[in-house]
This record gives sequence, C-alpha cells and structure tokens, in this order.
Amino acid sequence: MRTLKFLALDLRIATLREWPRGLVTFFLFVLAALALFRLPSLEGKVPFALSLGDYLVNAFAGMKEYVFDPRNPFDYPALWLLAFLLIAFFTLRHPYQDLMGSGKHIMLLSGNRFRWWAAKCAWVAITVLLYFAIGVIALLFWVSLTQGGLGLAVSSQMPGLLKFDTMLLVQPPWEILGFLFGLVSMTVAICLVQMLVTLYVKPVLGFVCTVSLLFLSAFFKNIFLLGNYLMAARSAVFIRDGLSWQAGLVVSLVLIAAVLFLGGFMFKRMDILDGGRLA
Amino acid sequence: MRNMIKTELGKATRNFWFLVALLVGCALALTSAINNVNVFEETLIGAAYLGEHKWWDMSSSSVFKYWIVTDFIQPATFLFFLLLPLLAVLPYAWSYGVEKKSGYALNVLARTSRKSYLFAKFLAVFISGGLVITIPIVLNFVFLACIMPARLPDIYGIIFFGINERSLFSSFFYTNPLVYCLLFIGLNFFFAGLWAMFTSALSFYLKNRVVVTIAPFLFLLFVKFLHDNVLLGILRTEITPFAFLRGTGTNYSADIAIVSLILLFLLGFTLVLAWQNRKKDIL
Repeated sequence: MRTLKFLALDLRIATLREWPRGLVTFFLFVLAALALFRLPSLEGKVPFALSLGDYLVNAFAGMKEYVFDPRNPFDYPALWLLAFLLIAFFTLRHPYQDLMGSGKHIMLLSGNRFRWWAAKCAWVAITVLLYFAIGVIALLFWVSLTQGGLGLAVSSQMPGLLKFDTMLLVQPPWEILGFLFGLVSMTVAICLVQMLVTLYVKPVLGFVCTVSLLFLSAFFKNIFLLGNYLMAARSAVFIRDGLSWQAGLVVSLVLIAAVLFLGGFMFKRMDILDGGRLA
Repeated sequence: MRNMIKTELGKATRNFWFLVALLVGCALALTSAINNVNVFEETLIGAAYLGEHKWWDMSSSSVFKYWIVTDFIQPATFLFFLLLPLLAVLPYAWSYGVEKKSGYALNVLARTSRKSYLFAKFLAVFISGGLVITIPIVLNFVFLACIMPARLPDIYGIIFFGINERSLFSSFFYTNPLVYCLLFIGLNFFFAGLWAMFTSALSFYLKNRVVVTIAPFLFLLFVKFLHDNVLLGILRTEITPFAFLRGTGTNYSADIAIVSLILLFLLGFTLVLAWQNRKKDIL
C-alpha cells in the first residue's frame, strides 16, 4: 500500500507536473512520421499508402549491421538514437533528485527503503509506457490526418525504403507486435539500469553511459549490446540472422528483475546521507 | 577583475567534473589511437608486399591519416565526437546556475561588480570547455606521432584520406598538414568553449543542472535528425558539430561560412542573454 502511495506521489511530481514532456514526445513522433511520409517521393519511388505499422517501424528502424567501407562512413541513426535518449532523459532526474531531497525523509518515516525503490522502478516503467503510448497516439493522429491504414501490417516497400539489409530479408508478412513488445520491455530495462547507475555515479554520467551503450549498439551487432534489440533493421522479424525479440524479452525481464531485487538489496546498503556510496 | 578571473579559472580547472570529462575524453582518444596503431601496423605488412610492385602510396601511412580528427574507422572516434557537446559542458558550464541557487553568487556580488563576475565566469567556462576537448585531441596526435611518421599527404592518396576539395581546410591538408591540424584544434577549442558558454547562459533561465547539461545535447541530436531525415537533400552541408568538427568520415562536407555562422550565433546568443540579465535581481 505504501509503495502505491509512493508511486502516486512520483506520478504527481514527476509525470503530471512535467506534462510538457508529453508535447515534446508528440512533436517528435509527428516529425518522424512527416519524414517518412516525404521519403518515397524524395527517393524517387512511387508513393504508397503508409500504415501505423510502417510509421512504427520507421521510428524504431535503427540501422542495418555496419560493415566498414571507406566510401560509406558510419552514420548513426539520429531518429532512433534521439527517440531512446529522450526517454532515458525523462527518467533520469527524478529518482536521484528525490533521493537527494524529500525522498530521504519519506524513506526514514516509512522505515522501509525497498518500498521506495520498488516505487521508483514502477515509476520508470510507467513513464516508459506513457512515452510509447504518446508516440503511438501521435502516429495515429498522423495516420488519421493522411488517411493511412490503422493496422500494424508493414508494407513490402518499407525495408528497401529504410535501407534494411534486403539480401537477408525474411519473407513478408512481418509480424511486428512481438518486436514492439520486446522493444518496450528492453527500454524499461535500460532505463532501470540507468537509474541504478545514476544513484552511484550521478545523473549526467549515467546518461553518458546510456549514450555510449546505444552508440556502440549501432556500431556493433552484438547480443550483449542491448540497443541491438531496439532496432527493427536488426530484428529477426525482418532479417535472417537477426536478433530474436523473444531473446530480447527474456534478457530484459531478467534485467528488470535484477535491478528490482539486486538493485533493491544494494540500495538498502547504500549510504544515502553521503552522496551514494555502498555501506 | 584579475583576481576574479584567477579564482574562476582555478575553480573551473581544478574540480571533479573537469577531471571526469578529461578522463573520458582522453580514454576515448587513446582507444582510438591504440586501435589505429594496430591498423597502421597491418597496413605496413601490406605495404611491404605491395611496395615491391611499386604500387603503394606511402604518404597514406602517416600520422595525419590516423589522427582522431581525420580518422573515419574507429568507433571510439565517432563516440568522442558524439559525446563532445556533453563533455564540453561537464567541467563548469553548470556553475552559474548552481552558485545562484546556493547563494554563493550573492556573496561574490556583494564584493565585486556583476560585470566582472560574469566576465570571469564565462571566460572560465569557455577555457575549461575548450581544454577538455582539445587536450584529448592533442594527446591523440602526440601518441600517434610517437609511433607513425608524419609524411606529407599526397593528393594521389585521396581515396585513403577521404579529404577532397570540398572538405574543410583541405588545401592545407595536402600542403601544410600541421597548419591543418592547428586549424582543426582551434576550431574544436572554439566550438567547445562557445558551446559551454551558450549552455551556461541557459542557466539564466533553466534552474536544473542536469537539464542545463543534457537538454542542449538532445537539441543537437534533434538538429541532426532534422538534417538527416526531414531536410533530406535540401541542405547539402554539415550543420552539427558531430560532423563539422571532423576532417572527414561524414556524409557531406562542412562549409566554413555555415560553421562561422554557428559559432557567431553561439557567441551572440550568450552575449545577449548576459546583457539581458546584467541587472536582473538574483535574490
């Protein structure tokens, strides 16, 4: 019950009061949709009706595996990086600031640190879910504006348009629901790991770690670089030898449980009065 | 004024965050250098074979090809330039906001004028931001120069260097590469310093240190997204520091006029905000 009260307080302080973040998210996803809408004509291709699934794949496309080629220098996918760094930023500040402020007193009064920790984990998960929900609403708004399809079916032209590795393409139809499910779960896991890191090395350095992780994930295709699970262009849904979303889901659930329980255990022993060193 | 500048410079360059930013920058610069030494040694093996056939252009086995600014192979190089706007603001750009919030600024302003306080503050922010970026770049060059020869790049090796006539300062690269290096070190110093000042000026309005540090970086990423995805094909020049601070390895070349405009904008924006807030009550 106390955990729920903590969570309600977090939602009031760090979610409802920070409503402009929702507008930023909405704006970003609408711009991403606009970019895709213009892409076929800019690439000299025949325009086709874009569905919600197409727009979602575009927003989380990432990039195909990078193979060094002096004529084609590495260029990280800005939209993909921005979409995930934005939610990493939204979940960055509150837990640390709460711990440095009123959270410390609330914890002392409640007499239980784990409840505070569990509430923060739940807050991160809810914030991530809200972020994606606003993203989907923004895309739905765009789809209704442009009279596109509301389904999750992905057009056969999309992989070529988004420069996926078409040599390795799996036969359509591509079922993206599982991929999206894994993507949300992995984002929650990354944001939770960032929260744990943040309590030890301060928010800005925690954010630097997240930027580095996502960048290295774009550069190297590796199952240990978690950002790989966030890219449609490297998902087994679209390409052979891609990363399976089921594996990503399992990894993310293990990470979420580890941060909740192991992190909770570490947090219980943390010296919260002295900047966050382990006791 | 002199004491104020001395104090602020001391605070800016002798704090934990300056050290952290410098360590991260140097670690990336050294990682890039060490990996490039491996590439260089592999290239020498190839050169030893091809040299017999007189096909090998030795000028490409030069420190000027593997330097972090002209390198387009190492992930550490790309990560360094991606993190550059964050590293530049880490040392001291947050200080004005924090000192205003904590009341420290009030104590200083009771003893000195606002003008000298702000001048010293922004100068310290500029220098600390520039130093944390240029020290790793210079370190990378010195490390490589200890191992590789500094051969003059030959225009026939253009396919190895990736620096063509449209690239920034390219005429110096093939004629006087040391001047080219100095120009890029200067450009990186000025950008990093001005970016740190610009971010610091935002703390006239933004109160949170984390927001002041990270939000401008996200804005730059947003500009890159606009450039890459929305303005596709309209602007055929690099407009983000992730690209124009590097000699090569980018999709488009940088235009010196656009780069100068960006630097002027950063300086102008900072000066305007400082001017606007010169008499603002900080109580």
